[in-house]
Amino acid sequence: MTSNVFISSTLKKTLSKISTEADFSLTQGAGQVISGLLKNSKRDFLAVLSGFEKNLELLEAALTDTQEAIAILEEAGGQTIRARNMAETQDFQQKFSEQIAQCADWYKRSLLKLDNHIRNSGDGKDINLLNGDALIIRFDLQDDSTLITQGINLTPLGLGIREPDFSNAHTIQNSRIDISNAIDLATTLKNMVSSDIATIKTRREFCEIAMSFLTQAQESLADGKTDLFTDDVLEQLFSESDLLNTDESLALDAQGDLLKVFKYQQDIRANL
Amino acid sequence: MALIIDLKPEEKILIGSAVITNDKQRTRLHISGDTPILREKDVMQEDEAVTPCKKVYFLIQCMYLARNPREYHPKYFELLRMIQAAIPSTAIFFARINANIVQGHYYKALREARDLIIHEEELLTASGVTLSDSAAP
Repeated sequence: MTSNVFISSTLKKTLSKISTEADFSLTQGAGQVISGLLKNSKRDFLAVLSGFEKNLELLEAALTDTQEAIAILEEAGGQTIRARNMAETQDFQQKFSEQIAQCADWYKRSLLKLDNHIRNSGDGKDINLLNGDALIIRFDLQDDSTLITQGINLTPLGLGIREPDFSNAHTIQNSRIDISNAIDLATTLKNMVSSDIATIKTRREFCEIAMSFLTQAQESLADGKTDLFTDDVLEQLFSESDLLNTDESLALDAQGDLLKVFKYQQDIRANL
Repeated sequence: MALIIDLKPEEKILIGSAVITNDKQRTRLHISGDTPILREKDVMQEDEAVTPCKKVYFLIQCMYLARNPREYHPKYFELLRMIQAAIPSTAIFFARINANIVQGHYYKALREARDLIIHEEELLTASGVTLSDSAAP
């Protein structure tokens, strides 16, 4: 064999799919051709990785800001509970009118604080998820794979919070309901952002490890390292890979069980 | 846009965490949403994963079916390291497989892994290596 790598028909097919610059009938130098293609893959991975960093920063800031927004809403919710308890009967309402008015004032202040907080959340950024903007994260350069985090407008207006009226228990209860609904929406946003952060972190980690393997392969192919398909090396590769599932299954319980169900149904059918 | 799948009589398909078996006639399914879908011909059982590259396929299949694919990454990369060290030409297959995994396109990654398996088979045939019974594909 003259090449430093083994040129199978599958490898030829794969190389011809991704490169037009090489004549793969020439076995000499195939390692260098692959090495060049790996360099391009690495460049693509790097570009995707840089996007991850910027977007992760934005998502993490949005998560903190959403938690803060929930805390403000809870403050406002606390005022509605206090006021409602003091307005349970007409007598109470008269007796505690000053305190109820104070609650209404605090409630309004909380909403103002929320409004300012949401507006400041987007400071210095193009995208403010707390104002209803959407963030699009790209997992490739062709935009074939994207993750869209759709923000929610958490301003009092966006949340549909009505003008407070603490004049009686019924209208106070309306404010209470508005705040509960608002907290639900803010929690939804918090969960979405958390989940997307986890997805990006997982893919970032995968991307980083994959890139390190690309670098290793690129270097070894450029150095003219050969595909080692002697009996010894392959025997060793097979036995090493067997060690991965000697003691335990390769599949975790959930996937292992699902595949067993698949096989079980296959076996039943075969016996019918 | 919905994915359209034609099932042969008695063909099975894995959708999400359910196994669906077709009855005795042909069926057309229209599937919308984002859930793992594997046809019978694409499903590999663990006892069939008897070569290093078939193990790669099996692990990608598990990642595809898992809620948290990250749990499979250590074993996957360990296998990748072993294979790539012995057969550097496989790096080009892994580059394509990994790009698809990063994009969340596990089905495409499985297709690329199938090419890796064929490459492995061709390599074994060409080299004339006879492996011990336990290790042979």
